[in-house]
Amino acid sequence: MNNSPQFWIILRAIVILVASWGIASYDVSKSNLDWLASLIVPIVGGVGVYVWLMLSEKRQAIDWTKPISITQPFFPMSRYPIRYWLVAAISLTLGGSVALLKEIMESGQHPAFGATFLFLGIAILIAIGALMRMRSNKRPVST
Amino acid sequence: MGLWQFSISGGAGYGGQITFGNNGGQWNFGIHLGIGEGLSATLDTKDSECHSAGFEGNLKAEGQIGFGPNVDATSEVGPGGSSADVSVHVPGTALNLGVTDDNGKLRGVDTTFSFGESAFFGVGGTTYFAK
Repeated sequence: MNNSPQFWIILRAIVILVASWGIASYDVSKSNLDWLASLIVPIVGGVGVYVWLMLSEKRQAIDWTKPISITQPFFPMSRYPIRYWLVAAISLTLGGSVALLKEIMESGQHPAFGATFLFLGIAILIAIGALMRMRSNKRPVST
Repeated sequence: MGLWQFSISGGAGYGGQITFGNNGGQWNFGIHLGIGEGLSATLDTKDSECHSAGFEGNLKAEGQIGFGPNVDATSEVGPGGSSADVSVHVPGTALNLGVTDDNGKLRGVDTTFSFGESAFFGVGGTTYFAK
């Protein structure tokens, strides 16, 4: 795998743009996501990501260093889970925001579609933040 | 009326899958426990068929990899049948390149939104509630 910082910056940008564009450009008339979905899906998704990251914490194969670096690898997910889910959360938040704004400015028929992805992205960001906070609290104080 | 299904699967040795949704006005909730690796979450906004109300137990083996609405590959095996799909969606278009094999019947693919990568094998079931 390419280890140059530029490669990972460009790959992040491409993945985020393509994934968020895919969400924002989805034909919402095919979606029946409702407000209940936009509430339940993010809660279960955020809790699921947090629980899985917590359970994976002691695994030796996982690289927990530099979790918010934009120059380090974020793939495969099993090796760089925080960096991977951070890219996923940004894609969801960005794509959901654009889809929601488009719906508000246009027909306003399916605002829950964009809201579901926006809230899911935010829930995953909260899960990552909570895990990083827990890890930093656990770190032994150096003397 | 909602027509959607959300599933989250994965594990770190032991594993599980939770799935729930509302299809054709009928709610369902399923849980499977077993062994698993990785984590994936999938949101499917298309309608599925309604089931008769009640509990359906089964074994399930599933592998999933995806990133957003653009790349998705899933394989699922159980006593009730098997399905597999591979798809690439071209953003900004209605173009889905891929195929779904559902119990030996090939059909076109629908866009699903999936993130993560996981493999899971477990036992459990889904409860379909009365409309």
